[in-house]
Amino acid sequence: MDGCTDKRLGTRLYAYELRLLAENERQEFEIHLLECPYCHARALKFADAARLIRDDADLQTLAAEAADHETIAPISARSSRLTTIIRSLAVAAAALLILVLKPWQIEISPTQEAVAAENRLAVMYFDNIADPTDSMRLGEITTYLLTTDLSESQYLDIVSTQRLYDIMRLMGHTGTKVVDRDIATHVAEKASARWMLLGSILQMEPGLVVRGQLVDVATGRLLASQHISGEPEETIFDLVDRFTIQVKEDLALPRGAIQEPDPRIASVTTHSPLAYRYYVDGVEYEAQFLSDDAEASFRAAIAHDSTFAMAYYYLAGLTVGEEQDSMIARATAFADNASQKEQLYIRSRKAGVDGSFRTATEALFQVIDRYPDEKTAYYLIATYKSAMGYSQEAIHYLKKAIALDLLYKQAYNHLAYVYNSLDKVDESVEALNRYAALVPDEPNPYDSRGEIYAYNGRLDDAIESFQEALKRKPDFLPSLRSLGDMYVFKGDYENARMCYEQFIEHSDSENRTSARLSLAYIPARQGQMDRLLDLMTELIVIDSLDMVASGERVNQKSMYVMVARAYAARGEYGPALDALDRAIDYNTMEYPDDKRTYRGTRALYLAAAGRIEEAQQVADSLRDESAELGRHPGVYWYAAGAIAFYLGDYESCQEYFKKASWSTESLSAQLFLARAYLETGTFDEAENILEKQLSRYQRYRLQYGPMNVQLHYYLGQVYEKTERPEKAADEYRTLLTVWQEADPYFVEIDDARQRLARLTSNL
Amino acid sequence: MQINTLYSNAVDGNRGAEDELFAHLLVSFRLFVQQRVQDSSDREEIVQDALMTIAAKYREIRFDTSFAAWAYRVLNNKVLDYFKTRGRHRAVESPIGDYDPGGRSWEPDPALKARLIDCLRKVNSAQHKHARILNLHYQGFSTAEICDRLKLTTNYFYVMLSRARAALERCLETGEID
Repeated sequence: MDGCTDKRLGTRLYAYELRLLAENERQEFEIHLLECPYCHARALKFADAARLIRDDADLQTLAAEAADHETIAPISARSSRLTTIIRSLAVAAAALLILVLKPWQIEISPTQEAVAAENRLAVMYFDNIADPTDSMRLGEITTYLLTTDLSESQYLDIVSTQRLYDIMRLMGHTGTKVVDRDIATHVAEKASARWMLLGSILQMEPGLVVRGQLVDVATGRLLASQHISGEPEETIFDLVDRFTIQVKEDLALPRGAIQEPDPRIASVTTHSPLAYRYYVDGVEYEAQFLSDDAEASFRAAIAHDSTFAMAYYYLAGLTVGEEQDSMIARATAFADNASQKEQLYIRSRKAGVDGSFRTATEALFQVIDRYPDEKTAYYLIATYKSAMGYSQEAIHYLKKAIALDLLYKQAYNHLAYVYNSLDKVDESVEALNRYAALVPDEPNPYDSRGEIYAYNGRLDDAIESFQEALKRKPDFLPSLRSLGDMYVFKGDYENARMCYEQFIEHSDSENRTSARLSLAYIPARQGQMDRLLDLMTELIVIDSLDMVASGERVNQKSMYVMVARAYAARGEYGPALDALDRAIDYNTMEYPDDKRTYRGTRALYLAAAGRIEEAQQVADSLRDESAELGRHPGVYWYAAGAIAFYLGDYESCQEYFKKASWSTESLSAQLFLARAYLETGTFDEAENILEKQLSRYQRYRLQYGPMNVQLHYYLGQVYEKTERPEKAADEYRTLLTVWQEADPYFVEIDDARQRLARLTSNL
Repeated sequence: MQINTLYSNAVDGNRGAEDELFAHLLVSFRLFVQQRVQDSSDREEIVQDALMTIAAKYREIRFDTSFAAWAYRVLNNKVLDYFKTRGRHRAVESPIGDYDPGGRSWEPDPALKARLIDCLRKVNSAQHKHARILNLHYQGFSTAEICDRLKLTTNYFYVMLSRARAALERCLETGEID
């Protein structure tokens, strides 16, 4: 090797290793790596070190420490800006913000500096003097419409309504529609606006009359006032169009501002005042996480205007499956009826629903290029980045979103899950504690924290967190259900049952089938298959009657899967296959294009019953269908792994189940993989899998019934084989305790008892 | 030997060159996919899929640019397919809310880590900006943003990183950065 074949690219090796290259640069560099033996060898030699530098928490701390010593001045300057912002807040709020920001070194974005940006305007509010109760919400509608219409101008930087709302909230004016001039000035300052627009609705009948005042934020000087009188036949949309032109003229913008295309506001929103009113309601409910109310409002909006693109856009975020597809398709079809910014959001959501996360992200980057205050865009970028596995980038954008809205609950919540994906449990819990400090009366931060603890093997902490969530909202369904799950793992079946029953009672009809299934986790965990089957018979009847009475479509696929698992655990593969076929039928009814789900399990049961040829036929068809659909063949590998296991070909079994690892049958795949490793004496691999599965106190384990307890049995064997008798004995004891009242046909019980006796006599 | 030469020899029927070609692609692809896909077993599957496609087609295709660029494009498409199918897969095929805990985590070599900590301390004290770059990078800043903050051109940024890396390499070998 003589040296690098392209010195320009050669210098980028470290940037590549640190993931600092842009997408196109990365691709160019990777081709270079293929072609340049010198850089290739260097990259391979340094690969482990690069990975450590990139991902290791200790090394990150080291860099942070070293950077702090060197960067005293910039950090100090940043702190002083932060102090300026915080000074105006209430003392308690300030203390909270310091608590939130300091450890993460969140840099407040330039838009939050108290420096007025050129041509930045905040449309503050319109007070309805003609109707002080503002029963038609005309004041708010005028504010929204003006903000949207003025935002279309290339010559103006309009502070978004969301941003103003967030600043008001930060200043303790949550929900305030109209504020006095001093507060408005303060809010506009915080939004770095050069000008603010305030106004009043003076008359509603026979024609609307609206007055506005343009104020210089820094001096408080009135720059101009507007007075627009509408004819009786004119709507608020007509007035806003005229008002926008007047404001642009009064701001003495460049000539191009008057000449630029200025679409009629109705053509980028709706022509129906009533539809827009419902839409504004929906947006506000959405901001308060009141999903049901938001959905009802958006549906009312489209009932009055079936071409209202943004109402469909929001509905696509509140629905799932086919309905979501339909909503986003309609939003896309009517996207011409939306503003430029909104069109980008629609394009992004469409791409996201289609699974094209990169396209989704690109559209959002265009949003923040033009509208840098859009915290929602930063937040959504982070969600796509984390979905694509770019966790560090996701963290970056979440912090940017938080810098724009220090009370951005969703961002803290998501940040916690991203940290957890990087195995940074402490940071994850810290994010949730900060989220909880912002909203001490809300259950969700505690619910999320419970999930993080459960995922990381901290059962008691998880229970405590879910209990905290329920103290704040006793019918908070996610926590009720999760607490029930934790009690099952803990062996406290009475409390588990109580949680599940409350969960069922409070669930709406659409979710009651899956809620009812929770009750099955109790006998499934105890190894009582006879009782489980009786219960399932009962649940299926009750559920069918309930669904019919509620007008819901009966879909009991998950119930029949549980029935199938119960029969399979008893070694009765005929009835297990019958039940599984019912589940497949239900699934096909729900997703006509998806004919593969559960058929991996079908192959497993056939193989377990010794019907290898039939199992192989299922596997082959899964392979062909996956190829035809262009889908990941995980379910095929699962089937192939199961067949190899029952043929005693453990090497192939390992290979196949590894390939199936993210198929839907994950616990089952992992258990068979561990058993295959055990058979071939690859104990460290088996141990890794089993310990990891046992550290996850998550619902998916309970859904697999007896399998999640069998993990103890096989881990005990791994410990025995690797001469750790005390640990092995512990695992057998756990199995025997959990299954102390299990049905007698589990061979693991007698064997574990004998192994334990042998081990304890030798200890 | 260069990959395009290996390719030419392999097409000419040299089995040794073919083996070497695929060994080279295997280690390279693993390295590339590791940058983008978290789950280790998924990574291996993507790499194997790409290699199978290349093995099936490489003798028949006439390349506009180079074999390396074509092979890379095959891998890149597999990665994109993976993200695409994974998104759909999760949306459609998780009927009972199952959760996949993913592949095994990578276990770093403690001795390497200890040496690296020592070397990073040395490099950071000699090249202060290296620490700042790393710190900003860990906070999630992009190259453009880091360059903007530290008042560096992009080219100089790469050169600076390259020097720091060379010092780290030397230090890992000899214990010294000079």
